[in-house]
Amino acid sequence: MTTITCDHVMDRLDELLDGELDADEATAVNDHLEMCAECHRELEAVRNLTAEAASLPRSIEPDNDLWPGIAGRIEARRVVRGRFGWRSPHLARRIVTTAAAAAVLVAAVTAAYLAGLHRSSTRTADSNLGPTTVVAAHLELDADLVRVRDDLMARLEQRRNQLSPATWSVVMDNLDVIDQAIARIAVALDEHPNDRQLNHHLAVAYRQQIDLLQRATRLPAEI
Amino acid sequence: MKKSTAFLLLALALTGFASAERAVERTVPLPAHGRVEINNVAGTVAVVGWSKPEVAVSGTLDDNVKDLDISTSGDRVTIEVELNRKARYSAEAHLTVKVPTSAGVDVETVSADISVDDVTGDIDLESVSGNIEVSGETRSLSATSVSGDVRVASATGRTELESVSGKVVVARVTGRLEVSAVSGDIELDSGTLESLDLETVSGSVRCRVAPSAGGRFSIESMSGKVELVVPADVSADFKIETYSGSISNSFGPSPRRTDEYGPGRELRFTAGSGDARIAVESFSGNVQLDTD
Repeated sequence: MTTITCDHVMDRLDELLDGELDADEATAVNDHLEMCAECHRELEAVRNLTAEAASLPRSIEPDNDLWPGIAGRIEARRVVRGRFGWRSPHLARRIVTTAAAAAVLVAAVTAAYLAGLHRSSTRTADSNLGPTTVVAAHLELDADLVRVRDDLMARLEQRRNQLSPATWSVVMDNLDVIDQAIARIAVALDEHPNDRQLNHHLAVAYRQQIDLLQRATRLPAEI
Repeated sequence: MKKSTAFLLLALALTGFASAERAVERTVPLPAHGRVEINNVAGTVAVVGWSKPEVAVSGTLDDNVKDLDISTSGDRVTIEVELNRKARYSAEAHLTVKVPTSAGVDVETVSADISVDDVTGDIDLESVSGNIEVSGETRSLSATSVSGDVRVASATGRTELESVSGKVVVARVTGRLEVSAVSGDIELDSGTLESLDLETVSGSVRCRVAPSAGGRFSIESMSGKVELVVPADVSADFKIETYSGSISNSFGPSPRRTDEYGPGRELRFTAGSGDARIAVESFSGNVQLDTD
């Protein structure tokens, strides 16, 4: 009997979930999953992410066209770049599913801010209008975004010993660059929560963070 | 045998073993619009377009390369460097691959540098730390590296370039261009673009291009400096916004504050008939606008 490897199983998880494996291969993959805790965890992660993406609202439109195209630009932007592992389109699709979930979340964060801006449409000298509805919506959506980001970070951490120290350093340094940008934008938003430009920058920064995490989790093993 | 002679022979043998390389040369047929996929880890991959309906692979494989697998399936040729398990990522293959000029090309490497010249099919290049260089009249190009530089000598059609920390340098570009970097610097020099979608987090941007009539430019930066040079007779609506960076304009009006209580600045004006739209948004990076 041919020994089935973890790499082989990882590359076929999407096909397994979609019922696209032939009977013999499905049996072999399932047998491996029963014995391999790591692969089983990966299967559950993919299953959860796919379900999460499917449950997200497909379209969250701002109440008013305050910034034409912003949500469309974020949703239309290709979140996943790079096709290392081009022999495994299903692996790419799994990452795209995660990316799609993240992209919808980012668009939703932006839309919530825009919706809040519309509700408080009269700007006054007091920019701290405290739109509690926006804050509540933002916190809820932020939590989802944090969960997706943390999941990607966990995946990346699992691959740490596969990447060269130089590549790991580049990825971490650049994630830090984006984190610092997000932190600075957040400080500015504390002072000017309704500033549409700041909200736009925040949404872009979130997307860039997810983009980089996506790319990094799909880098080929170097060591 | 004298001990010194024995040591000399042993040293020569070890030297020969360590630097052993073997040549590779093979040719397989491929239709003019077929596709070539190349997978290498370390070394180099040089792809050159030619007029023959063939893929010709030549080069050298070092001793830690197990094999060069070349397989064909219909209109697709796959070239994969297989490594010995123990020397997995220290093995080098230096390949030159001649492909039909109109073929599509997919190249993926870890540290191997990639170069492509005179290929007009769809080109998709990816590397982790290798540099990427493209020349010739490309029509559809996607190139992405993490820490390597991405350099394109000329590009037409649709071009998408990404780097994380490497530099992105493009000359003589036309058509539609998307460029993305995190900390790597971006340089665009010359060409008329239908659209430009460029973003960076902290890398600097130096951009000297012209919009075509109806063209759309969008440049976004978090903290990187943006220098945009346009033709003196440019016809475009300009919208430049920063939150805390400065805006300097060598032609047209000066920027104004967006809010008397905030630090934001914006600059909106029309040059010529406003045929194109140019938007630059920055969080804290300074924006400088000049003409040729």
